[in-house]
Amino acid sequence: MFIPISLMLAGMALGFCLRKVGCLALVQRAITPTILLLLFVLGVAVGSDAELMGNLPLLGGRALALTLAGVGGSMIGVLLIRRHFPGAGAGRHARAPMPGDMAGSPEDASGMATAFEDAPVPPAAARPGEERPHGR
Amino acid sequence: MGGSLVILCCFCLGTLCAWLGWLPRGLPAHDATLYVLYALMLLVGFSIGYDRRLGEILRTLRPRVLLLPLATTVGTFAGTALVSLFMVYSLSECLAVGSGFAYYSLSSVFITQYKGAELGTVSLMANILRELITLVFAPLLVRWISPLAPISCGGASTMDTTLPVIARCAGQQWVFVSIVHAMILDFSVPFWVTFFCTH
Repeated sequence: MFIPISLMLAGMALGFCLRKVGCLALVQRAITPTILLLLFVLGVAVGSDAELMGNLPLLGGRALALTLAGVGGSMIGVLLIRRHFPGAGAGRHARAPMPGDMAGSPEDASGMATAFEDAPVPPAAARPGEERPHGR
Repeated sequence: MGGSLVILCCFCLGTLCAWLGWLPRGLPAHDATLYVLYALMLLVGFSIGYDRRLGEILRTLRPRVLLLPLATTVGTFAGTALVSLFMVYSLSECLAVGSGFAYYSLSSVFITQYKGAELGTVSLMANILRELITLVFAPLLVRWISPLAPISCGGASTMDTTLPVIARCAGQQWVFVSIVHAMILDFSVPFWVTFFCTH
């Protein structure tokens, strides 16, 4: 069970050491095709199991129950912590932005004041719409 | 959304090929998933280590931002633990499915390896559903609960597949919280899933 995690840590060390090599950014593009291949092979494993295929609707129901329970629990968690985040009430404009309170306000457009102590310049690659490998 | 559909299609294509017997006999699908998973883990690790943003982001983080991944993790575990009382699966099996946090590719292969194809399939569907629920219900979650709600709902997917929806529904000011949330959950998925699969 430690093989996948050690591989990930080895990959992290490798990536950290090879940061200077610019062309290796292309390596990250291999993630999406790998995920697609993984899902295909996983599909083959499921499809070749006749018993599993017969039970698919039942398994789907169980999956739905587990998902709804997990999401429901997370939502209760959010209700408990949202008072620690300025402007995180229900609805778009639950709390009007106040002068001097930038965090979470519409003026804090990049979210830097919400997330960071000393609001550095936004890292160029970390904006929405940026190209990232799709699919988890 | 398009990305998730392509991935779903890949899975269905694999299932169909095997179901209809279009693949050569004796193809070792189980070993193949394991090796592809290893390759993926190496690549994911590489992209984390290669990323210059990571250190910068973690250094300057406000501690309260960490409350959100904590709430997602504790809330998800509490919810799945509760529903495990009514399930045919054990508590640790339900928690293993829940700890995928919408990271379906990784969690379902892990679970298939450790617990068999049945729970692996449940995990795949459960975690794809979590992403779909986030994509579809993000506006309602913002209106009813909080702009943090779709981020928590999206789990580990909130820095790529569900980020555009979150930015649009909750507002641009939550984008960084969303990215940090996903980074922490992304990293924790392999640990939680293997932990629950071996206990």
